[in-house]
Formats: sequence, C-alpha cells, structure tokens
Amino acid sequence: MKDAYWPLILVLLLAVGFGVVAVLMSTLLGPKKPDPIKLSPYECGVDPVGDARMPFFVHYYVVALLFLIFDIEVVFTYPWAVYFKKLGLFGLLEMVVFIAVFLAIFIYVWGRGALEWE
Amino acid sequence: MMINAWDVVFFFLAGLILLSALGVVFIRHPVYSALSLLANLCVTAILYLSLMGAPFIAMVQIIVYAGAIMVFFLFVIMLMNLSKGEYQERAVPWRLLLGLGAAALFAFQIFILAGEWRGVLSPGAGGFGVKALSHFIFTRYILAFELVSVLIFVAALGAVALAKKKL
Amino acid sequence: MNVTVPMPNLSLVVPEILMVILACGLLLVDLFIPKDRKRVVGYIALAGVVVVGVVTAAFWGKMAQPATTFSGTFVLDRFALFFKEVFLFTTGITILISLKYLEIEKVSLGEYYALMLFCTLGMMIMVSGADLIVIYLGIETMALSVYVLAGFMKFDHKCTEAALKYFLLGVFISGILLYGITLIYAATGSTQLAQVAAVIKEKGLAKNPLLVLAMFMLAAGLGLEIAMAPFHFWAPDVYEGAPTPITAFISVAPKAAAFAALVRIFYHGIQLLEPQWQILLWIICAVTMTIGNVTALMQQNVKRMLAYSSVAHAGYILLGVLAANQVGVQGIAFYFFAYAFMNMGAFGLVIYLRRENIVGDDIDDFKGLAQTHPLLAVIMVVFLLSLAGIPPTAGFVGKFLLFAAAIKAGFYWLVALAALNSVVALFYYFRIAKAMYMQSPEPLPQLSPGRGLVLALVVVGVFTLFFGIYPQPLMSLAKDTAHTFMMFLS
Repeated sequence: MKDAYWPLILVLLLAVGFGVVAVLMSTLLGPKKPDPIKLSPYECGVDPVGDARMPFFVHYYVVALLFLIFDIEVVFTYPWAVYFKKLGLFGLLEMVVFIAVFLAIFIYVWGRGALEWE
Repeated sequence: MMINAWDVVFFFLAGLILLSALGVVFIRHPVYSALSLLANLCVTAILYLSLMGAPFIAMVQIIVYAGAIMVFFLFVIMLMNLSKGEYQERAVPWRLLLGLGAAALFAFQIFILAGEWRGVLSPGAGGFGVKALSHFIFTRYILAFELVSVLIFVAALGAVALAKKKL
Repeated sequence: MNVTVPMPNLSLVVPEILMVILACGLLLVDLFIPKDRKRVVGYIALAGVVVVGVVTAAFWGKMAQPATTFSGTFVLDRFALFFKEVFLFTTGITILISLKYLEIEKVSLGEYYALMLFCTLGMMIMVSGADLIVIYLGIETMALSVYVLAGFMKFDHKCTEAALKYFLLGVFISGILLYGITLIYAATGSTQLAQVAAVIKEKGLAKNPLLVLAMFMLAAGLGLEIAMAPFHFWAPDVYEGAPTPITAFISVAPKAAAFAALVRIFYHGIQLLEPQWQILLWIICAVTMTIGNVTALMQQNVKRMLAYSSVAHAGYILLGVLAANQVGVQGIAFYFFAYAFMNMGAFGLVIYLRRENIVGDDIDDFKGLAQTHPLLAVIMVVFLLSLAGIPPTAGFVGKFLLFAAAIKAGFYWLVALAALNSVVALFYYFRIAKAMYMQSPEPLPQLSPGRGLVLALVVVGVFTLFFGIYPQPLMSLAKDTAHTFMMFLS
C-alpha cells in the first residue's frame, strides 16, 4: 500500500530540487548590474504611493472564520459519503442532524447580517 | 545493518518538520514565520500520507490547516499590521524556565518512547484508511460527531458577537 | 452488506437535546426581537432552563444504577444528574441577575443568553462523558462560550484584555489536555474510561511513566477551569474584567464541571494510579488554598478578593477529591450547591451596588451599607459567613463534610492546614463586614436593582440559611449521588 506513494515522493524531490537548483544557478551565474531604476518597485508603470501595509478590516476575519466553519462541515461529509451505503438509514439521520445544526448556523449568520459588508 | 528505505524517508521528513518548526519560532518576520508554519503543516501531511498510511488525515491537514487556518494566520498578521520596528523581541518573564520545562518534557518523552519508537511509528499497521475512520466516527463516536457541530456553532456565534461592530 | 450501528438510547440524552434545541431556537427567535426588548430573550432562556431542570430531575428516581449509551461514551448516573442540576441552577440565577446589568452596560444581546445555554450544554456533556474525547468536546464547548462571555463588553478595554488572556491560556492548556489524552490512548489503546481502567488493571500499567505523564497533563487541563495552583493566575484578572454576572457564573459552574470531570476520570479511569495522583493532588491542594487565602488578604477590589477566595475554595474541595471515599464525593457534591448559593449571592450584591459610573466592586463602595440598606448588609453577612464556613450556613456543612472525608482518609496535616487557612480567610471576609458596619456611609445615589436580581438574592440567601440549619434533604441527595458513584468503582 505505502509503495504507491513512491512517485509522490519522487515528484516532491524533483520539485524541491528544481526550485533549489534554479535559484542557486541564477544567483551564481546571472550578471549583477543594479541601478536605481531597476531596483525601484514596479506598479504598472505608475510611481508607487505609500506603504503596502494597509490597515486591515476586521470583517475579513469574520468571513474567513465562516469559511473555515463550512470547510470543516464539508470535511466531515467526505468519510460519510464513502461509507453511507453501509450505514443505512441511521447513517443518513446522523448526517441530517449534523447538517441541520449547520443550517441553523447559516440562518443565524445570515439573519445577523454577518455576511453583509459594513 | 540493513537500512530500510522507509527509515530514510522518515528521517528526511522528520528533519524537514523540525527545521520548519524551528523556523516558525526563530524567524522574526511574522509573514515568513507563518510561511514556515505552512511548510511544516505540508510536510506533516506527507508524513501522514507516506508513513502512517492515513491519506484522509493527510488531505484534511492540507485542506483545513494549510488551506483555511493559514489564511487566518495571515489575516491576523495583516490585521495587526505591524511595521518593522514593532515586532522586535520582547522579554517574556520566565522565558528560560518555560523553555527548560518544555525541553524536559521533550526529553522525558524521548526517554519513554525510545525503547519502542518503531512500534509507535510503524506504518499504520495495515493503514488507516477513510473507511476505517468512517466506521469509528459514525458508529462509536456518533455523540462526539454531533457535538462537533454544536461546538462549531459556538465558534461562529462567538466570532459574530465579538467581531461585528453593529449588531 | 450493512454495518449494524448500535442504536443509542436517546432517552438518556433528552436534557442535552432539549438544551441544543433551546439554544439554537433562542438565536433564531432573537433575530426577530427588536433591540430594546432583548429582555424577552432572557425570559425565554430562563423558562427553558427551568424546563430542562425539571426534565433532568425527573431522571433521578430511575437512575439508581448508572446507564450508558452511545457505545459507552455517555453515562448517566446520579453523580451526573446532581451536577447537571448545579449547572442549571447557576445558569438560571445568572440569567436573573444579568437582565438589568446588561441594560446598564448596554450590551443587551440575544447572543449572551444563547452562549450561556451552550456553555451549560458543554458542562452537562462534561459530567456525563465516559470517553475522554466526549469529555474534551464538552470542555471545549463550555470554554469557548465562556471566553466569549468574559469578553462580552467588547468596548471595555479591561474586559477584552481579560478575555484575551483567558483565551490564550485556555487554548494552551487545552492543547496540553489533548496531549494527555493521546498519551493515555498510546498506553492503553482506548479513550473510554472503563476500558482504560480495565487495560491498566489487566496489563499492570499502574506505574507506567506514560500514564503518569498523562495524569499530570489531565490534571493541568482541568486545573485551569478549577483555578487551582499553578493555573490560578488568570482568575483575578478575568473575574475583575468580565461582566459581573459572568464572573459569578465562571466562579461556580465551570469549576464544578471541571471538578466533576476530574473526579470521574481519576476515580473511574485511572483509579489504579491513585498513589501517584494522591501525591500530586496533596501538593496542589496545600498550595492552592494557601495562595488563594494569603493573596486574598491583600486585595482592595471585592471582585479580585472573591476571585482569590474562589481559588482557596478550590483547594478545600480538592480535599474531598483526595479523600477518594464516599464522604468525599458527598462533600464535593454538597459543597458545590452551597458554593453556588453563597458565591452567586456575594457577586449578586456587587451587581446590586452597580450604578452609572461606579462599578461597585471596591471595598469602599460597601462603606456604611448597614445604615443605608440594613437588609442588604444582613444578606451579605450571611454570604460572608457561609464563605468563611461558619454555622448556621450551608458553607459550614459543606466544609465540615470535606474535612471529615479527608480525616477519614488520614490526611491529618492537610486538614490542619485547611483549618488554619479558614482562619486566615476570616480576616478578609471580615474586612467587608467591617466596611459595612463600622464605617460611615458616603452619599450614595439611589440604587435601582432589577426585580430579577432581588429575586435571585432572596432565593440564594434563603437557601444558604435553610441548608445551613436543615441540611438533611440536600445531604441525603448528595449521599445517594456518592453511593452510586462509588458503587460503580467496586
């Protein structure tokens, strides 16, 4: 069973190797002639304005958390989907209860306006 | 002495995990530190996949941790929006003591597990596939499974109650 | 081919199911209630808690023998029922004292009551969990709700800071607890308490270092909510910063739940490690009560003082856990009801003194209360006497049981230390009494308590006195609890 993953490890090694080799080669072999114009940040031809570190909106956080929550819900449906034929009706009921709670979460979040942009 | 190819894989992955974990702690720049954590999570997933024969856990590790949780880390780093001067080292009281405590705990574990580590880490004893996991979750641990949904409800409730400005 | 799923006996989890429906329903109802009428949500929550309490109480007669369901991951016995009633009582009282407070603090939201119900649900699962994973999920459900509740006044810096501290420490310790559970699984191959106990017995693992390490981690994980040393230092900050009704709640209910889980895990799961955990708990017990009482002496803020006093009480209750006999469990059970009465009462009084711009939690706010509000002062004295463990109050009976259990188990030195500590405790409880009776009052603005708060104070005050003078009914209930719980052991 575990031998099936050899190709995966091979690809991993290949990917890491390629990355390392490419970066190393270009640093070692590439010519270095810096000048101020080359080093200036490029922003579609417009002169850069201000700092890239903008203050971040807390609302992103709520959205991210809600994404995570429904992500976890989906994660639990995978093993169920693999097995549900064997679990029969009872298995279905288990999932119905589980999803029902998530539906309640969804209604609450929606009703509270947490999905609206402030 | 015969060298088992899987031992080599294990030590390679373990080395990477260790290295990236050290990176999380010692890299000053928060974004790079978070990226190091990402590397750590991915390599751990590979370990689950290759050595422990637990493909589902590996995928969950990638989807939930490397995917969703990492987004969180980066969001929070951006939310804090620290400029370079602000994330300088801060003296934590009893830092040394905490470090020593953690080291002692680690040493103790190694000491206990050293005799039988092969037993602990042998590839999954026939593998631990999705079906085996499903069997556990949906027969024995039904209650725990349903509780997870309630726990997640509380998390959503808390996030909305605390983060929404106007309710 | 179908797998036969063992059909769970759902009738045993009816209180929990009702609680989930109540909490979810409350949130959905809350969406349709206008902002200035959120009090209605509180009333619905209160009614629901009463109903669940009655339903839970109805199980008492049927549960002379413990019953398990969900493949043995959930157990219902009188021990669990007794503690569930403690939680439901505490939740009910907390809702009563919150109604007006939330309006003063301008954080009147339906989420508050829903979180409290979810928290109660988590605790109910904790005391009924017979599997470490289920217990862990219960702890997390409880803890997450409590973190949010502690930081509910999100525009108050002290409050958010306290909640954040609590949260960070909580998740750290929760990691340790989970780690301890994995170690138990590694050593015994199971997370179910009965099976863990069986494997330990069968393979003679009583001195297994992995299990000893796991025992330390479990004690640490539950020790945070218990607020026992060395995990007590969050308590004063959180107690001071959190909304006062939540402070009252945190000081009683999660502590009781963590104690119940600790007792169940230590007595039913790793009871063969008793020599080891007795040493551990002996030290923790001695340190906890001493630190709690000595530090409480130096506090000027009543909420902080009560925080340290609750640390000290955790130490006294540990005496009962250590004793590991029937009187000990009886004492723990009785004490938690008594503790719920007196601690909720004391915090209720702090809320009573809450006025615009004054939090009412400084000792000076109690000055001359005997002249301005004589009845209030008398009630406070009852709570203080009970906390100090002086007859004729419920606190005295509880403490007496705990001390008796420890003496029966042969912990003479520890009981001597506890008695000494009780004397120290008298000093700081007396300071509040002195402020009320021997100092002249400052001009007070009119106090305007809600009816809910008055009702709550009357209820807990009467109970504190009643069960001090006539403890028999509660005592026999506690005795039945302890009896079935220890019977399971042998």
